[in-house]
Amino acid sequence: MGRVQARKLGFATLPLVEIAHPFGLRTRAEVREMAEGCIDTIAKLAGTKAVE
Amino acid sequence: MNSNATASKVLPAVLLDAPDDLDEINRLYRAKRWSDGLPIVPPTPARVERMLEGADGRDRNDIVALLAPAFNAATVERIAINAVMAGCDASLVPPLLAAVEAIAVPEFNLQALQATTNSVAVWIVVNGPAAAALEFNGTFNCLGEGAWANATLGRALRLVLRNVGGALPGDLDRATHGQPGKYTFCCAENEAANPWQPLHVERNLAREQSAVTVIGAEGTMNMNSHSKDADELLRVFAETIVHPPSNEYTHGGEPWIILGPEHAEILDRGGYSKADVKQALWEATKMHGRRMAKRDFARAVQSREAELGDIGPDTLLPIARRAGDIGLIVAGGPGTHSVYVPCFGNSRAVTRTFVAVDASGRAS
Repeated sequence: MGRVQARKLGFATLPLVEIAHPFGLRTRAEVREMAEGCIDTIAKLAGTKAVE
Repeated sequence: MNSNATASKVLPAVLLDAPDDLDEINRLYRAKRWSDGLPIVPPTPARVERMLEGADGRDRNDIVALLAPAFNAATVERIAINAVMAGCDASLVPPLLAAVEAIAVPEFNLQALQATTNSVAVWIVVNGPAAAALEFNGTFNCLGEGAWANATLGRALRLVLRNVGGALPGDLDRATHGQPGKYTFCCAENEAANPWQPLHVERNLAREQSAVTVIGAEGTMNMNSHSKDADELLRVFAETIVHPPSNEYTHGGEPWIILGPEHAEILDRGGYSKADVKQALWEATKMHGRRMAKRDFARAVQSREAELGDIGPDTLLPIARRAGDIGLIVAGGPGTHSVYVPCFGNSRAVTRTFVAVDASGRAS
């Protein structure tokens, strides 16, 4: 949906990070693990390196 | 045009080299996901041209709205194509164009309605003289099958929502269950049986105008009560409406009531105006925050703090921000029934006028 909407609204190259769904039943720790798994990708898309 | 988005280039409809066989065409539409799951009427150029005669002279390339979540342009022609597929008469094009315009108004919140996991469908209520002229049903079985106008207008709007708005189940439409109203959900108000103002007059239109109102409806709950006492009737309605896992309590919504003519008459005889009915229901449906699940209550706190201030477990949460936000129409035939229509919460009904056209496509 993010990609379709970005393209339609004129931001075809908008950087997006994909997070697998659903995570409604995941524990807080599991969600944190998922979030941490995205840090490098987010940093890469933002053009910076992740800080440990 | 009605949207916050900017129209990109609109491509005209493309002619498809289709087999000259209805079954084959329907197999193609099924494979392409261009149908709602029911057989369609093939939108041949001749049929689309006839449908466009109902557009009262509007240019086929006019953009009526950009529809979320795909933000494709709903042109008059694209809407007409979907109207053909749904089986509409050309006379239904004006209310269909009005409905498409209405769903794109920001307060309707189409993006959320189209993409949510909720079961929400778009319910169309038709008011004014065109309702009878176009044979919309607002009496017996008005939410059921049998009336061509109800069935095909609601279906056409759903096809537009899918084929133009891009809400395909499992893709951009993330509904967990959906509901049967996503095939079609349309009725007229039974204005003759309404002891008060009909919906469009309540919404500042003249009685002689015709209008569609679009509503983000989550379903229907029948309320069968043989009570002849107005206060008692309102009490049992209120007890039906109160349910903790409700979007209305989470966000301060816009629940709707369809009063059957008999119940409307009982309330009127009991001395209740339409505003009185809304006020009484608003008061009687306040619910303690503690009745909600903890996570749902936390969402309500987050969503309604600005409206209600500090919210605690003992706070009585109103179902809507104001009594006037409760929607009410009179519809149906004789019988001891009314209907509660729970709604999406973050959506407001929108009304748009239309002018009926006669068989030749002229305004009438």
